[in-house]
Amino acid sequence: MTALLSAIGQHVEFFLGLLRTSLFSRFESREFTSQLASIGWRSLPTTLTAGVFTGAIMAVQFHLQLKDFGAEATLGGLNTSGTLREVGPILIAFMLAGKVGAFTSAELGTMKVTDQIQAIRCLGVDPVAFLVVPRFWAVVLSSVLLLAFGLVVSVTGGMIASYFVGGVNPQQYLSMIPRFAAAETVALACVKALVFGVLMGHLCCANGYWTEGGTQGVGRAVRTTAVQSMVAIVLADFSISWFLNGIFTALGK
Amino acid sequence: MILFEDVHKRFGPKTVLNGLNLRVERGEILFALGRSGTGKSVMLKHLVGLLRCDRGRIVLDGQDITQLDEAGFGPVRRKCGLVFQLPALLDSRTVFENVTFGIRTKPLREQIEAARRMLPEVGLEALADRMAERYPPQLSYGEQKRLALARTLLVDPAYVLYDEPTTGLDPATSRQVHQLIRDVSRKLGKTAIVVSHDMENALKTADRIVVLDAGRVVDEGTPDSIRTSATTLTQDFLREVRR
Amino acid sequence: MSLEGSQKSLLISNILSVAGQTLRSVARGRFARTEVVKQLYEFAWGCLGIVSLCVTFTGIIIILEYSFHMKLILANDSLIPGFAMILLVRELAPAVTALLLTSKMGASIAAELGAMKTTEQLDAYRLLGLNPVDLFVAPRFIASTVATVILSVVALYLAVMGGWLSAVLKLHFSTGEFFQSLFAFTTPSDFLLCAVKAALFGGSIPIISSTYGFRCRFGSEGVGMTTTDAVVANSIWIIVLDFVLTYVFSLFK
Repeated sequence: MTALLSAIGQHVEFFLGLLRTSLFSRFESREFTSQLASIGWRSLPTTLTAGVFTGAIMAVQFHLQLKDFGAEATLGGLNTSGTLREVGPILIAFMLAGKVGAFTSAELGTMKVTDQIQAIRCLGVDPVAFLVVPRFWAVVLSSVLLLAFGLVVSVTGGMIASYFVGGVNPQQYLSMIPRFAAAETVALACVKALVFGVLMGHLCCANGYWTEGGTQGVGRAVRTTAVQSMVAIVLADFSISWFLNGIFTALGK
Repeated sequence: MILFEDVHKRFGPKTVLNGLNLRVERGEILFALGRSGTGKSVMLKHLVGLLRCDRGRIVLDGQDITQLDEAGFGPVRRKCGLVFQLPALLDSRTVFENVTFGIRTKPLREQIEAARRMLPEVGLEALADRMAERYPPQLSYGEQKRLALARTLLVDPAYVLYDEPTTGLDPATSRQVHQLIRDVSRKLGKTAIVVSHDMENALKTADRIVVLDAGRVVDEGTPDSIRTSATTLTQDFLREVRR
Repeated sequence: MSLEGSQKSLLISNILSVAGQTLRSVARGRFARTEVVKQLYEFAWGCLGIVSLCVTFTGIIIILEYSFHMKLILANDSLIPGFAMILLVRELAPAVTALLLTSKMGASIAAELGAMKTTEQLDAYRLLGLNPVDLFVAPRFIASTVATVILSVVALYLAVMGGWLSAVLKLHFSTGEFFQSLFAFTTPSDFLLCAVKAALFGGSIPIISSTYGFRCRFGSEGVGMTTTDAVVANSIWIIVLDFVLTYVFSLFK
């Protein structure tokens, strides 16, 4: 138990350090933009695929369920809402944790075990400011943008699948969306995207920075990042849904 | 002048430095020899604040640096430059950006001049013209190590610490590197502390040699006195030298 | 057949080659039974924790989300457990479990085999006349397939428990009402779909990860990149396969 608490403490300390350094140190725009390009741009194809198929899967599933009630017409709204609120953020985030998170933690981990981080310190530069902070913000921004992109694409995927599987007219599909996927659904999706992004950014940077033990250590750091990201995403998803639901109900949706 | 006074350092159950006493005078070339795992690199890392000792005192030019914090080591690191065993260069930055990393806050013109002056000193004149286009992965291992040295020298430290500079290099290249260490120290007036297990080159390059074992100094002296030393470990090292 | 697989030769052909060899190996019994048991333990027991955690929370949320949506479509929410159960059985239990396993075991298989490639152990085995597929891939294939099915069942159970918590604590269901409604819509074919999905997802993971491991590039970045790419490839494959199976299933309904 104490081990868990001290681990959480270390993470909190690291995170606060990231924020402090972001505010008070010179911003490394070169590092930031190059990371954004490597992480963000290169993840577009996989996000596109994941998004489209996620929307499609959910469309088929919901279609089957609604068919029994003759409520297929509402498929557009229901699928979009369900995907945006729950399934989309989680599936896409899981995939991003694997790609983005693993890439950054592997890179930082390799720099750590080849002494680059120590060398930078000895040359009078703060490695957190120079290497970690730009990567953190690059991961956050990429995650948010990619999640948003993935969710938008999932709507398209759902629409196409609905047409081919259930014969639902795309126009009708889209018209149902405003009725079901109201402002609060979009808000929920945005909050999740931001929170997931921050969690992934922090976890991959922290684990990468703390890597010990050569090549094997790098492998371990990557795996730890993946596992921790999954757990964090699920817990965050739960917390956000639970509490935001509570707030919206209280506000008299 | 650097002084280690009864320094102890432990990692978990393993004691690495066990009462280390060492004195390094300004301007000299000191070789610290020992078997792997006897605390040589650990000793160097204490001087730049990458490690803190458990017990004892470390003094640098009259200042007690034993318990300084990270910020406190800033000025110390400008005085003591550590050249790592692995080149530890930034692969995604050019040779120019790597070599001027320690002075990146200075105006660009100063950086360029400094780089142009330093690269020939470490035998990398050929790179001077292409330094903004070449990247570390394109260089040979030997070139990378020289670049790493240039990077440290550009900060103009009074003391240059070398962590196993020739481990893994062939004998001819090792000889060249040791020659380089000597030239750099004499010409630029630097004090050199070289951690190594190459007795042959130590005898040819050093002003003074210390031998470490089990975390403490077991023998020291000039190359001549070391050659005739009665200490067992020293004799083991000497036996490995080509006659 | 060489498994060297440089960047020039197609990834797909490598994966198919490994798949073919694995199936042949299993069919001819050319694998160590003890290794299968050991791997089964790693997969099932090793991932039980993270699967349990994630899936329980997912179950909790699913019920809430369905309640939110059902209230929009039909006024009454007594059938929510039934609807949610269908989604859990057909979709969430197999897919989420498989994605979690991918991150943990998929990464670790790729890393382990990649490290073996770079330290030339794989070549050493081949020189001794042993096929790495028989030694490493086939046991993991069997173990993963079995473990994924087992974990999906466990996941299903835990998700239902999570849903029960939500329903009883937040939605004012009684336990009796909840369980009565639970099986209102599920048919044996749904459970069969779940098992088939789990088995196929589970079997894919070792094959894809091993292929990436065999193709690993030298150097410390090599192993890191191999691990990342393997996890992403697995995740995308699972999502795509999920869609295909869902679609095929829908044709029979």
